Amino acid sequence: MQSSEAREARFNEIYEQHFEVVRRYVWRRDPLIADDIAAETFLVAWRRLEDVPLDAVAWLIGVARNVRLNELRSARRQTAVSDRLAREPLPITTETDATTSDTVEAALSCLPERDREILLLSAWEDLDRAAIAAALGCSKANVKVRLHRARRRFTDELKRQPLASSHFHPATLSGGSDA
Amino acid sequence: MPDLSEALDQLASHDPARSLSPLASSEREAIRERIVSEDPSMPPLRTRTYPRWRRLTKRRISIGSFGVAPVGLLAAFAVTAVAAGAVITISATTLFQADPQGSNFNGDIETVLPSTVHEIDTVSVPDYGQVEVWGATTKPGGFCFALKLPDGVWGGLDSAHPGPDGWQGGWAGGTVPGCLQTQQQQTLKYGGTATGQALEEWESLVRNKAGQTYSIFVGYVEAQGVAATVRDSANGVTAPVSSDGYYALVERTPMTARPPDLPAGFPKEMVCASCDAKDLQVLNAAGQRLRPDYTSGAMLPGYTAGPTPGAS
Repeated sequence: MQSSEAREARFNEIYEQHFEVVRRYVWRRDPLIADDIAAETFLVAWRRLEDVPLDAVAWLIGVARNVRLNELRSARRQTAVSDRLAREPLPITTETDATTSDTVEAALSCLPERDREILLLSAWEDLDRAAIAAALGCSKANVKVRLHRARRRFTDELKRQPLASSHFHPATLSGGSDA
Repeated sequence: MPDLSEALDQLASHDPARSLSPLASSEREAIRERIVSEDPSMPPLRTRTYPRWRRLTKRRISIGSFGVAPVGLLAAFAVTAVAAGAVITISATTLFQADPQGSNFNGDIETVLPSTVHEIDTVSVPDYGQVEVWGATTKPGGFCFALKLPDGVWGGLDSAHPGPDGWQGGWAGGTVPGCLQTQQQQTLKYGGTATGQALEEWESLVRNKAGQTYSIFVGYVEAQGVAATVRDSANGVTAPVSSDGYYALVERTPMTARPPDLPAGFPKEMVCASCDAKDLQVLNAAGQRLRPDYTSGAMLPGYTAGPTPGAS
């Protein structure tokens, strides 16, 4: 049993080390609720500190993912967020190599949510298979299969894409369904 | 056209969060202080009556409104009645009018219309018994549900028998009645897009004598065409849709198998919060899947003017 001081010290360490990682994970998908979801995620971590593994990042992303999906499942939250998203500008980043990026964006947007999520966990969160498995709550073998299929479908979609005209904008790709 | 490798590289290099500034240290510290001020031994108020692994499932109605005066009376009555060995005989109308949940959705008070309180269906849960499903329409155009358990007690009001892990007399589902807004109502009020589902659902759990968990999904259909059944495409379980658009579907609690190589310490209940294996679809009599309809669906029973946002 940890003393309350030791418990808080451990939490503080995890919080300092990973808060921005979790916040960025949510922000990439839902910028407007990123701070709320990150805070909720660390509240879960505080309550369940004994369950947080030493390498906490995948655990935290898994929790953040579930908290976010739960928020999105709530229709009133979803409609409110959608409404706000429709009114407010989303975080645009780079505009280099726009034509090719448009193709990537278009191909990505054609993928099922579960394919997108696993590709983005790899590309943006830089998680390896074991960490993705932990974040998604599935086996490493399952991640391997899902990643393979997602890449194959992504390749197929890339081949189908005409040259698009809009700018690359990953934030618009975030969906509310389960990955 | 980029090949896969180039596309993945582009994806990585176009990480939108690269431009995100860290949260101001004062804000981050404020969040941290708020978190650590919570007593970690106390579960969140809203989860106290649920099995913990279910706490993030959708549309689970929050507990915590028992402090509301009329509900406090109901609860007190329930405790007294159970203590006295009596059967709790709160009428459905009394229960729904007491509005235990508070039913406040972004300012909309889902006040139940007493004349609409009615029994929707009776469902049979293996090794558990017959469960009556009751529902009512609310003034702003939403609806509320409650279940009467085999022993005649309303699920959620048997506070004298909380049971382990939040199970109350073999039932878990939060405060009753559980209230929902229609997606039509939300679309009209908030604009934007709805969930894409052709139905609303409120889920309760019951645990039978064999320790098996069953889910009772109760809700309202918002679909184009004439709905005949609700079907879980994951397992083929079906339930009829009543002429006024309600359904009650019972099935073993749908969950995917627990991942075999989950890392030590990973919170399985958090995993399972999003691993429901169900997929509720609305079908017509010909077995064709119906699309959602949030603009011209049938009016709820007892409701004549259509969903009107912002109840007075």
